[in-house]
Amino acid sequence: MSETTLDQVLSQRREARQDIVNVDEPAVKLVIFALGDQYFAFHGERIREILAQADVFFVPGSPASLEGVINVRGDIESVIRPHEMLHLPESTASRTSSILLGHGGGMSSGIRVDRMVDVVDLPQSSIQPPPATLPEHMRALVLGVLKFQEQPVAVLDLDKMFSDYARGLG
Amino acid sequence: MSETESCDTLDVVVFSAGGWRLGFEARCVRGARPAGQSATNEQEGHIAALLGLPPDNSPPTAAQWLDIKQIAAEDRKILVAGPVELQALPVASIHPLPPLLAARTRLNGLRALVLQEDIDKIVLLFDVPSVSHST
Repeated sequence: MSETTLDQVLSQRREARQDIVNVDEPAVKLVIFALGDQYFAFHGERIREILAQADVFFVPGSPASLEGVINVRGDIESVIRPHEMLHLPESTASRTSSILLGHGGGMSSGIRVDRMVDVVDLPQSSIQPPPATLPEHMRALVLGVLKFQEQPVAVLDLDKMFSDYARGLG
Repeated sequence: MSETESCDTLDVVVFSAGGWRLGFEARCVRGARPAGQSATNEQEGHIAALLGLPPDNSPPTAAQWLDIKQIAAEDRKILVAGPVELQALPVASIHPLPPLLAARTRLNGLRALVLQEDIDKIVLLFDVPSVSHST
């Protein structure tokens, strides 16, 4: 009969685990979407939910970029259209459009996007700093850029977007 | 009304303006009386102008004067469209404004939204002192 004890086994297992060197790069989850023909992304931890369909109630006295409010299981959230803020042409809501429920800057809101592209885990290193050629209005909102499916993707700062929107931009 | 019931509902005077259903807390409203056929949307004290609602060209239907209790001044009359109803709204159906809407709304005194199940239209609740002090 073996004289090995459980303590020894567990100790060996712990040592073996410590010997494993994690060579994985830090990964980042991105929610990638399209506005018109341009790709954008939010960090995954900023997006609580993706709604393919929701009844939006228009509220009078709102700016054109505030589409209305939605009822999400008993909670009311606003729905904003980020197009104006990003200097993109307005598009009408279509069957492919979705609402991303995001939180940032101590606020939460729905964000209307023209089309969901993907939710992906990518190496942190795939995100590059914003290029110097980025238009002025985008510089404060873009955290970085990457290529996805051969398309440039701008990763947006949701904290900044919401706080700027609350201050009257867009 | 029992204590439990009073906590579960809020008494609201609901009325119309510009095709929307709007409301004031009932405790701030002394009463309502018909305004007669001569009431117009341009009339002083019309609710739409006080709230900053978009202009409405349709004539006010079943117009009524609401007598508003003032906090530190004399009472005030506000012209609204009917029907004017006293409703006990379930507290669960009354929602604070989402922060971005609160920051960007152009309506004076908008405080909350009412969404009731099976009713596909919202009711906008206003803060009476803010509205009655706006000009």
